Amino acid sequence: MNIQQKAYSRFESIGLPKARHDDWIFFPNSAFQKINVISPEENFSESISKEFDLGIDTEKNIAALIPLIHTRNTFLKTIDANAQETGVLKARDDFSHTLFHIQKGADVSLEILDNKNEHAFTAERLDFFVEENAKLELFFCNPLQNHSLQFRHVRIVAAAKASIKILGLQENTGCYRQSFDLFLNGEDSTVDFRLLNQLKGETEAHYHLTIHHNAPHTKNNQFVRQILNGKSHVSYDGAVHVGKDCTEVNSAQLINSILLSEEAKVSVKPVLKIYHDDVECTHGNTCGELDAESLYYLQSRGIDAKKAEEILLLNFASEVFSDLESSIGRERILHILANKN
Amino acid sequence: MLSIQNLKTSLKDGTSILKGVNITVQPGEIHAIMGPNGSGKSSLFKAISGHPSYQIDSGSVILNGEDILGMDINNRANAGLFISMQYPIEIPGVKNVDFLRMALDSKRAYLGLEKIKDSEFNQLMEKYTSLLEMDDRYISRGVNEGFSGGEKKRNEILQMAILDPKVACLDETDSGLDIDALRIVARGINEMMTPEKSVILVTHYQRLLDYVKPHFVHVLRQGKIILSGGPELALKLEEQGYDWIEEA
Repeated sequence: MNIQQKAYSRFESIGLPKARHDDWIFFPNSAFQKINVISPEENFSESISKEFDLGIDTEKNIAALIPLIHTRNTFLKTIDANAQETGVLKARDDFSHTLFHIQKGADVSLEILDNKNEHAFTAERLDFFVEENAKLELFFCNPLQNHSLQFRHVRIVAAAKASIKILGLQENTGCYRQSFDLFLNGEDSTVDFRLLNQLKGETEAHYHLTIHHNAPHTKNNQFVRQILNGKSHVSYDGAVHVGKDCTEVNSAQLINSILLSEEAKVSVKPVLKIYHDDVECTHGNTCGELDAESLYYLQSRGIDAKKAEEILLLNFASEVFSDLESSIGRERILHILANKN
Repeated sequence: MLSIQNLKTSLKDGTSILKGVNITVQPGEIHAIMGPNGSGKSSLFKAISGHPSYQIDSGSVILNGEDILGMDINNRANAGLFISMQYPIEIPGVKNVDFLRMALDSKRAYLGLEKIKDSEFNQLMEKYTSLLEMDDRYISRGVNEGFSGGEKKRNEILQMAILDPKVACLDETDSGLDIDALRIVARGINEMMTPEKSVILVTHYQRLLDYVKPHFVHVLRQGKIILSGGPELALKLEEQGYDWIEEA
């Protein structure tokens, strides 16, 4: 059975999520009407299925399966050991699958560009197999408008001492769901996940992230902020799983939201499944308006209210990325923020 | 000149705070306002600067012939009113130097002037950071970010010096200062004073007034000025407290 058939078979067995499904609890059920999954006609990627385990047999997320079922081919790329590469990932079709094999010691920075197909439903899947001591930076920051429904699923498997950095600036409109399945399978592997949502209108942005600490001394840091206007809605469902023999795991999750309108909404669901005592896991969540005292302070120095608000929002936004080491993604996002505001 | 006449203010919930304050400050004058905790000293400064927690029930605040109560907060500042906060807030991520320049350019725009030139701004910064004995740390960090209480107060005086207001209202600028810092801050205040400018100090202690000599001292209690006098009044208050005023 090839990848498409396996994915379709798995999809059939789990079906579309029912109302109040735990992993889709914040997602608007009406959007499922746009999804039409049919049996795959073509066969491809036989070699990929043998070389890389995509976790299809146990996959519970339809967003991870649909791109595999409907894509015409997989874009496969190997980054050689110790190579340094930068690149852009851009889906050309409504459904796409990309697989990167990043070999030992490589240092890779990739920008994910949004799928420009303005169809009722698009879905993409990106797989990364990151070997020992390799570094991967993934970032996305190019807003597209009015996605009817977009799924993006990112799956990363990290070996020992691999370093993963995911940076996102999200300003899209429409309805989208991004899911991340991150497997820290090797000792001392790390994930740093930074996300900023600046949304307006009736945008629905939903994030589902699961980090699997499958080895000792692994670390993850999640820092997510949103500035929401209009009737926009962000949900962040962030789960951390720590395995039985995984000592000295460190996990931190911080979500801060500023709601600029009464109808904007944020939903946050932290999940911790810990099967070892020697771990340090924290999570925090704040939600509020712009600080009135800060606004007053700036205005009391002659700065007008609009500018004062812009300064504070830019500051709130930039802090998601400003403490990171310089990188292509970090500089790109900070540049966009500084020039926008 | 600043003239506050029959100023009555309350909080949004209707709690009355100022119950008819009258103060007139002429150019070149330094006034000190003293009074027990909770008497309305900080509220007076916040109310005249336009803090959103306060509503004006009646009265007027005239700054150089213009009633500023109808102005936006920023325009009150740009018209020449400066409030040094009792508890300056931190704005991490906004560099102090950028903030100062933005504030100064806002004032210059209000006055119809062009943005300040690099060389002119750098000269100003050098002059006042040197006067206030502030090193580069203060300049490159976020506004008040990680500053001690005393450092924040010193930063308030730097802002005042750069913005060059007509009337500076300094709310407990001496609190949290060690002996050396008090002397340095006082030097900054005295440097700013010219015959065209005025200062109103809120303080609990005589020690600041040893360095910055007031022409008038007022006692604010329960939202009203209940006694005014010369510098000797502060000495008497330091010695005897406030109870004798009521008894008198």
